[in-house]
Amino acid sequence: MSAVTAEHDHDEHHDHGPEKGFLRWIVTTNHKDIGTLYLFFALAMFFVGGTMALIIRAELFEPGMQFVTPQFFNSMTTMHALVMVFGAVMPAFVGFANWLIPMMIGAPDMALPRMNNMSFWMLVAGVMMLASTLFMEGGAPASGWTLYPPLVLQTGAALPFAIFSVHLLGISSIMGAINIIATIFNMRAPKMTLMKMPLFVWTWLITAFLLIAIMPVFAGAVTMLLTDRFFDTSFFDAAGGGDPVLYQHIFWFFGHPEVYVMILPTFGIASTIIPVFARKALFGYSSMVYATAAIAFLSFIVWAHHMFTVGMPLSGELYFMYATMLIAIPTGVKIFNWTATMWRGSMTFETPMLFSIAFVVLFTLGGFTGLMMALAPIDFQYHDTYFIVAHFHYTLVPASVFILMAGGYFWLPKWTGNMYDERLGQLHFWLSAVSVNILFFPQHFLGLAGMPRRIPDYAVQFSDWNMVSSIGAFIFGFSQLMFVYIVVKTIKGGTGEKVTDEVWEGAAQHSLEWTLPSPVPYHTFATPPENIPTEHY
Amino acid sequence: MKTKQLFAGLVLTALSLGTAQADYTLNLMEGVTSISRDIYGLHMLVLWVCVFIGIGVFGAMFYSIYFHRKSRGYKAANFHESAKVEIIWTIIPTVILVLLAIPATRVMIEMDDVSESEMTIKVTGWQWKWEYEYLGTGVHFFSSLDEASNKARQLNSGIDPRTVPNYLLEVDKPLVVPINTKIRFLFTAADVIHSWWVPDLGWKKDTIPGFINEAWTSVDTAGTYRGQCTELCGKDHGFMPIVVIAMEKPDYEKWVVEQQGLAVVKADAATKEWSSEDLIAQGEKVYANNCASCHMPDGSGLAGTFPAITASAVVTGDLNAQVDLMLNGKGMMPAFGQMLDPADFAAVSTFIRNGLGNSVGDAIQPSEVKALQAAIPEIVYDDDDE
Amino acid sequence: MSTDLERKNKKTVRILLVLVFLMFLFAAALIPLYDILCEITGINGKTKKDFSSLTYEVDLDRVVTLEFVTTVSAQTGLAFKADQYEIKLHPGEKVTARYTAKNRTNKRLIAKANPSFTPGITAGYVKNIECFCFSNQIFEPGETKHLEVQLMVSPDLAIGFKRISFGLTFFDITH
Repeated sequence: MSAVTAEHDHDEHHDHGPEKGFLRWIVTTNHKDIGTLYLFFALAMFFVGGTMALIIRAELFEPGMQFVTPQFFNSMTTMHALVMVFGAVMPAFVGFANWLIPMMIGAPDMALPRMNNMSFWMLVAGVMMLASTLFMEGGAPASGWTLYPPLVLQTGAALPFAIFSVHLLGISSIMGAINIIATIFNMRAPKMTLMKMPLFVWTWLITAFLLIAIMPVFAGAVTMLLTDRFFDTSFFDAAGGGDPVLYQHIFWFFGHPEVYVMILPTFGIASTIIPVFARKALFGYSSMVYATAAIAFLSFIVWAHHMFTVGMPLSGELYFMYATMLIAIPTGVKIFNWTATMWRGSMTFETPMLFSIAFVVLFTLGGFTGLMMALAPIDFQYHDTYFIVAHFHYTLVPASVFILMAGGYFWLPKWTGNMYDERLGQLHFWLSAVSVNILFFPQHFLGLAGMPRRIPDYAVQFSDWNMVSSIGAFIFGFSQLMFVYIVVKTIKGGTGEKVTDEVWEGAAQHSLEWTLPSPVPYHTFATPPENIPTEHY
Repeated sequence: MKTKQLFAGLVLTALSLGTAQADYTLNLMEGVTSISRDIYGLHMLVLWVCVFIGIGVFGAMFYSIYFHRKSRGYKAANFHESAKVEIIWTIIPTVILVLLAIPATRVMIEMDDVSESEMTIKVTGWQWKWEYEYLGTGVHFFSSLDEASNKARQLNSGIDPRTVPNYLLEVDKPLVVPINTKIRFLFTAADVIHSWWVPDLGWKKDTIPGFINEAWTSVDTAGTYRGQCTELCGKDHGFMPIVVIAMEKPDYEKWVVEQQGLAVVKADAATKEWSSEDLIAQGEKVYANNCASCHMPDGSGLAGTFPAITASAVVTGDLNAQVDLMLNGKGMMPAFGQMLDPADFAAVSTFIRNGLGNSVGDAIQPSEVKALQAAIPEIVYDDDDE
Repeated sequence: MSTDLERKNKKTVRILLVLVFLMFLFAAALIPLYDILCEITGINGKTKKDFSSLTYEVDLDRVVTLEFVTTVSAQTGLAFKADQYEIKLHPGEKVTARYTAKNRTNKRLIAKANPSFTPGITAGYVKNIECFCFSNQIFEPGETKHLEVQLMVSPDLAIGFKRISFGLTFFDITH
């Protein structure tokens, strides 16, 4: 507590608080403000991407074409993925990183505050440019988020804009990643050693390195698409001696780690929340760190499991099958560790914990289907069907998105000083948890029964489960409006009950941010904290 | 509460509809080849492994959630690591993975072995149809979505897909193969990447422009097997199904002879003189199957991507220029000189000049098209059984 | 912020930017790397080396069948077929495959054929000595060309491979 008092004293003569008015949000270099910007932007994009998903599910509600043309449908599947990945999930985690990393490691701010501001506004510009392609001649990109040539080269006027937006998003991500690494390496409180850092910080450190490694590769690949289309090169064009499959190799060299960019911080937040509500230290802290690093490493050597059917030689198929199967080991360690953390704890089930438990269970289901698909021969059946759609949505929606929700409920009281409405939060949880399964579980059946992905219309034997899935989609989609309501209500004063500094019983033993006052002051840890929570190791 | 009722109603409707559908499955199909059955076996094996692990993990988790809760007065224990336990739960999964990898490797090797095949079929993916070539027999044709499905799948067609037999899984000309014969498939594409998948055969394979891929099958039960393109290939990706009819060997041989005869009939059709009415009548059908998906059934096109046929400068202009464009393609328009036989080609060129709101009044004869098409005859391999 | 910290931050940023730059170079380097890998392993069924002076001892005990597959890309106004369905040859023996291609348009066409072998792994063993696919082919309006490919199969090819498909796809590159 002495650290907090020192903080208050210091604040008295610290430079100033936030700028007044609207300008504050444009010029801000404060990590908390930028975190807030990221989170609200991500939330808005979550609804934009979600609306696109609902257009897809509405068209698939019944066989026959009712609402959109096949071309627009393909644009929707493409844009839904791009917006969700680059506009919603990634920025949301960057938002949490901005808010939490400085507070968790006892730093006053991010290492590079001005770059922080720039990377946010570049993200906004990138996403806006991407969205603008919807109104261009020939429509938005419709070749899937993977942008495979030669198909992507048939895109109309939108192609260069889509590619430039990928460049902007890439630069924004790289700047964000550099900032996070610099912050973690250089700004830690003297007593905050690496192996004392909360897992959220660890997972983000590893994620940031992944981003630095893959974003330039993706930017390179799409730039080659651009020159193939406009400058007569033929990197990916067989007519000029290129190879379209090479693009797939490069894309998935980026794409597979990219998937982990979205899941590693998820692991981090889950590992932060579960111990607090189990009132017990995280089980196997160091093995969690090593497992995260192992998963990150493996992500670079398994990419072609997305391409088992392109016609690789037998040795390639076998290598990528074995390498992919290995991922199950560190991932398994994580799931076992979370279970062991809960084991013989003294659990309570507030909304963040509910979302976290649902994450562990449903992510495990996604992991199981992942293991099934790792086996190359069976993947010749599963590949590009709804089975894989079900698989990756299980690892992204009830995993990443649920954990983002959990994180929101978990830290919102800390940030605002107000408690959210627990009853509404739990209602939101149950609606989401039930509907997300109605939405995605039947897609396993559809895929196994033979329904390819990315089709706007289907044979009648697929009707029933598509209808069920669409019903789930609409319930899930509209349930998320509750989250907006709850967040706004909490910011405006919540239940009226003021929260303690610790907010959750015993939380201050787990991580530094809970030692700060609630709501957290605009500037924190101007002097590094003396006492570092050590419970987790 | 209203949503709850609505939901219950919808689920009930969905379930009652379910009984009306015959081909209704939840699981992977076993299929009709040794490979597809091996894959099914692997699928079931790994599924049960997952179920087993799931019971263990979720069992422990839910036990803990039920008993180790604060509301029951449970006091938290104080352990946070155990090298022994962590080693155990690293080793057990590793052993399971090795045990899974062994049969998977065996099946993978078997799938890769195309040797000793008895015949070769070349499959070429096009936007949005399949081309099949029975190498060495001269049998060669295109296969695209059948007319009934094609009509019903138009936006707001007003046709209930449930009334269309095999909606979206029927083609105008299916691939015919003999059973109990090791068939080697070669895959390539003419424009973008497609992927050829018939679930009952057990695999899919990408077709890549400029490159050839291969795979094999040996069907052991006669029957009709349906599949679809599984790699996004543009707007009509969902509308290029595959139908494979597997028949007894003698029936298949009869079919081949029949097809070779058909080629002669077609050649005759190309030499005889056609009336304009016959050309237009035939052309309307050809248009519906080959042109309507881009240029729209009424010839109005799609702004920005596919030009309109109605009142088009090309179609209402010089006949030779129009025929040249159709034969050899331009931009997104494929070279139909490769796809249509002379009679169909002449018919559709005549139809678009005199239908869909155009009335130029001239016609082109199949014989003229044949000369322009300059097709090189296919080589028929005569099997000398050395 | 203390100047010491600023210096540290700047250093970190510099190192990370170098890393970003290296990864970008890596992406660019993947193109030649992939070609090299393909030439060694035959992953995409292409060979590009000059084999004109290569000779092998002919292995009369083995017969390999080369099968000729032709394709014309969707927007190319050519007719293109192999003159023979297949050639049976001994490893080490030099054979010539013949093709016919016709320009059916009334324009001058520049076209290029892309070679591909399957099984892909055999690409490293089938030596394409002379091929019209090595250079652009110019077709005058209506012209018919008779084209040739000289091939040889290396005796090092594993025994199991008895049938190899050699595919050529013509693309119009006139622009």
